[in-house]
Amino acid sequence: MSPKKKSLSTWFSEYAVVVIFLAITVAAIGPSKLSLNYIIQEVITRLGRNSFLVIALLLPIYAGMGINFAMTLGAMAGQIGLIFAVDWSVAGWQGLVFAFLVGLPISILLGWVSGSVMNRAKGREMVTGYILAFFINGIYQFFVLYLMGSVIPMRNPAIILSRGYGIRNTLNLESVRQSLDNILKVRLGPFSIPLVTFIVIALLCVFIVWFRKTKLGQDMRAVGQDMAVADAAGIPVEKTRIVAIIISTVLACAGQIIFLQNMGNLATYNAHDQTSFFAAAAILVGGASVTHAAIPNVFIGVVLLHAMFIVSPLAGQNLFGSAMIGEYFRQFIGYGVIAISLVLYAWKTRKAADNARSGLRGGVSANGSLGANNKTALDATGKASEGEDSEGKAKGGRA
Amino acid sequence: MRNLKAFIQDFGWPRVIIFLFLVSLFVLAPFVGVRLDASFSDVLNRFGQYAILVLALVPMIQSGCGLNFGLALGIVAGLLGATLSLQFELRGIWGFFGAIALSAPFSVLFGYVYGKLLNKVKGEEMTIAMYVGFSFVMLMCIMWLVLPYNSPTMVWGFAGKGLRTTITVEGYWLKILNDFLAIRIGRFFVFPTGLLLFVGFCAFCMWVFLKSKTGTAMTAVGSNPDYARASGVSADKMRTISVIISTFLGAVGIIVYQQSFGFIQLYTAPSPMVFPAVAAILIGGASINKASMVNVLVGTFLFQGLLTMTPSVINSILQTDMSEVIRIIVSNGMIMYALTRKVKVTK
Amino acid sequence: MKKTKKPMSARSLIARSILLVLYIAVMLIMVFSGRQHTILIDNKDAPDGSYTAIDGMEVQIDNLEALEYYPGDRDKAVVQGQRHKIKVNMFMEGREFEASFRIPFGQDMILLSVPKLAAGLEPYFEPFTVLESIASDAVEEAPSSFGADSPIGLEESPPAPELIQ
Repeated sequence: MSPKKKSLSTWFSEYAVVVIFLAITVAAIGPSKLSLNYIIQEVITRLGRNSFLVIALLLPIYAGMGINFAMTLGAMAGQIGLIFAVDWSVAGWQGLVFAFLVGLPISILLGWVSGSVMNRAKGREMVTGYILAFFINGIYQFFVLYLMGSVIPMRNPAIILSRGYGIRNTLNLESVRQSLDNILKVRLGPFSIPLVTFIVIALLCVFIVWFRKTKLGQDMRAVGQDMAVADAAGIPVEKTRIVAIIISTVLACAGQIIFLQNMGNLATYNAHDQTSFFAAAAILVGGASVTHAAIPNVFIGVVLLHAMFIVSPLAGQNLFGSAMIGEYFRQFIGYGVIAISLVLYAWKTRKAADNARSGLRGGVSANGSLGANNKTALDATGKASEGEDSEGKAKGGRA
Repeated sequence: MRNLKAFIQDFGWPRVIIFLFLVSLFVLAPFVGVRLDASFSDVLNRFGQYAILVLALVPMIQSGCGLNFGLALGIVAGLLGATLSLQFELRGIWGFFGAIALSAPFSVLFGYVYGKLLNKVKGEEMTIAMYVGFSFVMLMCIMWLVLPYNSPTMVWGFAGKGLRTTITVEGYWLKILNDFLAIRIGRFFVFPTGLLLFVGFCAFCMWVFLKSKTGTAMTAVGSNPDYARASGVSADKMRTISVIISTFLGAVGIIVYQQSFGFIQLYTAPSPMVFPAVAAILIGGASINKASMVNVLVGTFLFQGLLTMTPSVINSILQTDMSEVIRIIVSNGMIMYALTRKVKVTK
Repeated sequence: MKKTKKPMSARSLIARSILLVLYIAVMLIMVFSGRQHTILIDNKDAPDGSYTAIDGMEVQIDNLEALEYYPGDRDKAVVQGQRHKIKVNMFMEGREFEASFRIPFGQDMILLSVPKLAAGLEPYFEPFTVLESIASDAVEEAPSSFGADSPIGLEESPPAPELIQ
């Protein structure tokens, strides 16, 4: 096996997801019949709406805890904050700050809970976080549906269900709608840009970059590299992991508030269902893996994922005569991307472990196992693109 | 006394609490005007509906693949079998077994590919299984729209193509197991003999299988990989076999469920079937690397009992429907408890 | 993990209390400055005839859009915070004047009578309460629980497609 070929396959496995994604999106732009201006404007809007949430995933990745699917907890805290902001009629950007301040202690508490739970399930953080989000969702529903308005006094009858307690299914966020975006909107050519939202996101990026350089940030990365080594070096491993999750949860709380102020209404009982799915899909599409992520991955990911989300329903409509196909397709891609990234990552870790082991056994078998592993890599990517193949077949069938 | 304490420790507090909660629900039921016989009948029926889906989780737990969050693949295979049997106009007992037979090739195929995939990602099976399941379900959503089914009972009337979201099996194989030798006592109690016999049969087969040579090898791969390797058992092969069996049982499980429930539910319906099954086996006392028939039967009974009794009893007491929230908290709390439990090395 | 509980140093105690005070302070500022009030601007005769509606005027609250009023008109302005200015320009008299007023914090809605203000009568605004029945009470109910009989749960179900923003 020539070294050049090997590096090409490494490159491909590194960027497979980005490349596949870019190809699908570009291919779908034509059939969608959307104007480029429209697509760009939508992407700008969604960058402002979603980036903050996606950035919230970075720290747990640095700390070696994978994708923090429990970020949903922060989103729920943010929603509770917004419910109180609407209830006390605190409007405008002040309402958003107020919502964040209400959500802050809740998200710190939930972050601590979630960090502690994950410390009990080392090596299974992702699936545990995922289930934890469901579990806390139950408690959130209990809180919002039964306690609010009965035990917790609410003063605005318009947001309470007709039975006298519990919050309505959809909450109108009229009083805070786009209040962050609208503080200062800049027109750039044909596009309008919510400047303040982007400034907030930029500040967060600066914070992340700064944080990586602090003692805590360094510790976090050390923990992410190897827990045993970090522990030997005197780093409080469990505490550092909890801090990573707490910060992530708090950021998710703020991110959800930014997301919802842009959307303008709150589906009280399921607005948070999709939060971690979209954020995880975005960062993975952007070329991040479960162990490595950087700020550029966030923005590449949000742009790519949402460009695809914008074009695919209409592309599906125009190609197959059914918008549903496009809808299902983009969800399939969203879930598929997460699955592929996780598979590629797990496969890589195994390869590294195998290499280490065969390195101990001697050079000859190392070559052998390397070859075998490259084959498995091909299998994995083959499986990954399997979905598209069948999609392609369906397309061919219609044409 | 010590014995009891050790037993509780082993069984786990959450299970004890759930058990006591269920018992108290049954005790309370007559006082709030809920008929006990009707409730029992309901619980038995739902137990039969879900038991095989729960049973499907056993092989993968035994072989060390963890909780099969990708059970949706098996369910989809079952849906394919069921829709095909309707398409071919198979009725009665032939329809039911025809559906199982038709789903078999799909479940073997899916299980094989899925098993191969899981072999490549050892250690991350559960998260990956979950997302593979989700994305496969979404892919099948597209397939349900484009596959060339044309039976008028199944496709959308106005378009003439694309399957409906729910398809009734009435007139085909509705309650084919439930009504087999069913014993009716009084107005409200029906004992679904056929259904429970089938569940018992499947559980017995699984038990025999686990005692067989292949079965013990599979358990060895899960509980002691080094020992298994030393004795020449191929771990990957055993794991693949366990995934195929699990997927096939998932298919059988959903068909049994459908004949009792009366409808085939397509599109995104398979995904939410998985979590209750996982929760049930964990409530029954399984851990993420050890499960037995007792865990399956006890767990399904407890979990379904809880789901049946809470709405009726709690609603009559509190006058509100809290069952949904209780279901979410109990089932996910149980899975979380199992995931965070320190894995016991001994035994 | 051994747990050593160090007594909190004076510095971190001070830092924490400052943070706490800051938290409360920012929250209070947000609540007071962000509090939304609705001002109903009224141009009607007094029931006892002590003042009469103004025949055509333009009213501006703070920097909101100025609106024209004729006798019998009533419109509303939604504002944030408690202190507000009102600018009235009467067409007939050609008189223009400004006034500032303070809405009580707890009041969602006040009724401000411009003729009363123009006549110099105090108080020119009064609390206004919307009847509870107006608060829309649609058929909305608790989240569609699929019930215990359906296998479709609330939480695990993958998104209905239209949920995607």
